[in-house]
Amino acid sequence: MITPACASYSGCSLYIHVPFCIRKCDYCPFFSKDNESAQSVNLYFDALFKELNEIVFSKDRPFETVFIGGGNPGLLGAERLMKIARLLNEKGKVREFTIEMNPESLTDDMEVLFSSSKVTRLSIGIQSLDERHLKTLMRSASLSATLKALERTAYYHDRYGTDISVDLMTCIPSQKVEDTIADIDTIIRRGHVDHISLYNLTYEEGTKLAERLSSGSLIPIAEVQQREFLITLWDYLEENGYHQYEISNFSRTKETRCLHNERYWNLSDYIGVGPSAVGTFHDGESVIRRTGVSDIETYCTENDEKRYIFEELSSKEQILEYLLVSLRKNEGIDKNDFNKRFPIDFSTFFSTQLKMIERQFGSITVDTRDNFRLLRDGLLLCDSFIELFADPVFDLSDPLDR
Amino acid sequence: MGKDSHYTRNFCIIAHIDHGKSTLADRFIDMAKLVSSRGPVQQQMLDNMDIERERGITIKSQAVTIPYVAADGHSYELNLVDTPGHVDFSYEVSRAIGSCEGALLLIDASQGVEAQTLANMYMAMELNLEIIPVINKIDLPSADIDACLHQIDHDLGLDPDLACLVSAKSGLGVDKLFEAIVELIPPPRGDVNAPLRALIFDSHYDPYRGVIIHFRVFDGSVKKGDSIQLYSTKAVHTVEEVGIFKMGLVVTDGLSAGDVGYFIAGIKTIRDIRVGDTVTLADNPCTSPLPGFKEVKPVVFSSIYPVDSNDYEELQEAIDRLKLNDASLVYEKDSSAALGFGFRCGFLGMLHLEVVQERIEREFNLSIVFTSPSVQYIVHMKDSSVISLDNPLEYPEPMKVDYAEEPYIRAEIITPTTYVGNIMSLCMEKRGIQSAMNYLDEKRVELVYEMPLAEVLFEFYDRLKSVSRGYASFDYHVIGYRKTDLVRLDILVNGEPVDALSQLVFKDNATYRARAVCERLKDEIPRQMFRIPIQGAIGGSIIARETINAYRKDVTAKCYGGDIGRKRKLLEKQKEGKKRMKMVGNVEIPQQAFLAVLKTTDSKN
Repeated sequence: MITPACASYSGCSLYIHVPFCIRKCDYCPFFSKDNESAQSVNLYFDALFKELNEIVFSKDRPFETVFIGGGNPGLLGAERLMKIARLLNEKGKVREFTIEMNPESLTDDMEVLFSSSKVTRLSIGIQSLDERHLKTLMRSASLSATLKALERTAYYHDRYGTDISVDLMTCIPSQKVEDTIADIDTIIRRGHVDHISLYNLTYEEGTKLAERLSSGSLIPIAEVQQREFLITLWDYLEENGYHQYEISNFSRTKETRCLHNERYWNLSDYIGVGPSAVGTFHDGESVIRRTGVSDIETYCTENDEKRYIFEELSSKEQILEYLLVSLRKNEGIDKNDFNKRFPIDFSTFFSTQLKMIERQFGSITVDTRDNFRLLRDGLLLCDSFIELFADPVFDLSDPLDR
Repeated sequence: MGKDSHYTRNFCIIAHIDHGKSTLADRFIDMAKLVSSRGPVQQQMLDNMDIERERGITIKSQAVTIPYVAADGHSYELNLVDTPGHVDFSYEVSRAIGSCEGALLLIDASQGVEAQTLANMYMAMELNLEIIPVINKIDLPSADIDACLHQIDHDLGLDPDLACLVSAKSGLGVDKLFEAIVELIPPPRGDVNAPLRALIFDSHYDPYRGVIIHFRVFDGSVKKGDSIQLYSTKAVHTVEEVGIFKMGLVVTDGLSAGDVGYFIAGIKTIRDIRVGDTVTLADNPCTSPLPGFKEVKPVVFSSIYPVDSNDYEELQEAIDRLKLNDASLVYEKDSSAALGFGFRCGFLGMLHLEVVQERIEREFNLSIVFTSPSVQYIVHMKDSSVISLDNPLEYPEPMKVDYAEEPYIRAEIITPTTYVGNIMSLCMEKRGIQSAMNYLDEKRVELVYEMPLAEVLFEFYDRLKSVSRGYASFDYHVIGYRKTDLVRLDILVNGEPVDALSQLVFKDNATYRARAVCERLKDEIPRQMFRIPIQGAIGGSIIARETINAYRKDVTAKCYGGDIGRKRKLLEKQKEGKKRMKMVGNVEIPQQAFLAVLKTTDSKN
């Protein structure tokens, strides 16, 4: 079902979803299974490997970027991960090959992934370096295991040149901004971390934390304080050489940004493989969204028609998605790129919004001939700006004529 | 025709809301075996509209002819004319009552006599109806039949020996009531050979057949092919069909003096006829019309706007359609800077307004906003010209105004003595002037007040219910205009006046009102990206102020592959929600805010 056009051309990216966890963290809304049997993991891997084989077989070039995420991909074990890495590098070297891992899974035997240079980037879910906050989040790794894993990433970086990225969380109930600053200090001390993803904790529907929030047993950090947290931390990261390039992402250089994620934000083609994995790619003129069914058994036993949901994105939907990812980037909206992609002229179409923004929010936005972007205080209100720009898009008639 | 009006009885049921009028009507129909027991039957068959059934009130008059074989062995035709059950529709009630010879005065055995019962009884007495007191719900544990009998004797001045005891719900006592109707209510008088004289007491619109007129023949007769004339408009129409009401319309050869039924005469719109008008024959007219006719005038005015301006035409169509069956609804085009194009409408009262609102939303699936309801004021200008207005936006420059007048009502409130103190302070707060206080018995008092209609329109009824724990009942009618001190209160959101929220208020109430509106708006308008001041102002001076703080942080943490589609869907959902918002300047005001303001007229409670 993945059309040869997408699968074969070199620009395409690949996301692999590994839906297993030792224990699901209390804040996590994503699809994954706790404590699955070895048999189930085997079945999943067989199905995954088969699917990957078919995809690689149909391609004559490697994927530009690969991202193995989860869940906790570490639960597949080094051998299986290596098998995947080898397969995906068969048609040539993958430019950026990221693997996501929880600290407790970063065991000695994982070294081969990095020593072989097949995996170029490691994204490690640290989240916090404080027992109390790890407990609130119900992370499965202990503080000592987390610190040990951090040490190990330094080793990979120094020895094999692996790019290291750290996921860090802030605005955890009862957390002080100083706590996160201390976390950042520890993380950057060795100088091997080139990329940090900093998230403010959100309470997603269906998670344990959301339940605790509504039952009142958890008191969230107040909105105004959250704002102070983020301002302080964004500034702190900047002072330490980590430049924000998207709301939650900071990189020391342009080269160490996450290429794979940037492709999401540029709405480039990528395919997602695995249960609940999402992909978006062109099929001729149309843009297809392919979403994996959130069920491991279905993934293992059914064909693509049944284990993936296919929908065609209308131009309107594409514009909305373009707006919502672009406004989150520090570079903002490239008007020329927008005009090239869609049959409407950005400045003309959004003139009412732009005028209003200039009047009311001129100090937190930048609007030039070629570009519109949000400054720091604007990024803090990003969702509202997205809503503002989305408004007239809904009134467009679909399909748009070029 | 040719039948004997001696065996006809025309009667109505008058009662306070919830005393069981529609249930009793159902029971009559049941007992008369008019409705087949097979097949589903909607409860309360005479209340045809959803809203009527839901609220348990009758809004439009309905009629039905019930065949009945009495104990004397004769077959009778009992014409039941069901009357609207709310004070907003008291003129319609009077015309329905006017088409009968008798009335059943229904009293809830646990509630006793209430203000509306009294008001309707006086109306029936003025029209010389024979009144049969009926005590309903006698099977309720809380029923106090002796107290009711005492009230019938003492308060109503009726013969308690005539009272029928029934349970409309179970049918208990209804057979005796049938007999009482036949025995006590006189047969219609009237001269079959005189020129036609008939009373229009209601009408409804049928999309296929045009206007169907509900009427009572007093003198003469009418049949298909007759040229009839409407007395007030002098318009002449040819009768296409006459008949009587069963569960539907049943065609008859003709109708004559004493009969209740309908006719169809190619009348296109309901506006072409007037409830209370006299119908006669064009070539043999009666010399004088039936008494009591008047033009019903709206007393409450409000503008309706579609929440989505694109729905303007749909709204126009909805109002047109409602108007087909509701001659008392008047409207004209209106426009507002804040809300775009809409309609200025006149209503008979707040209930009428609410019914119209609900029907537009429910039957036509439109989101609408009503502006603050207003009464009609008379403004005397310094140049001695006089204007009458109900729209705050038309209020002239205060400098040019000499003085203004507002409509007053006479309000009759019946309450257990316990609540007299509460009610008197409520009425005083509402600028009421007491004109009488009558002890109906040792436990109940009738209070009569003259007060501004504007004070009564807004939440008076709810307040009255709450200060009397639901025991006080209330009736009113407009008595005329009196001098008042009027100002226009403007509401500014983010510095911009929202014309749709402007209202004309009594000067001493302005500050309270302004504060209440600002507070409500603060609760109802969601926070936005900037702080929003909300102000109440008279002319240039701010008399109330609230502030909605801005969002400080509004950003989603993550946005990767799968999040993008999710976030887009969330945007689409938010947009759906926004259809119920109105953009005023940069501020999105939810429809809910307009409605909340409409109900907020007082902060003193």
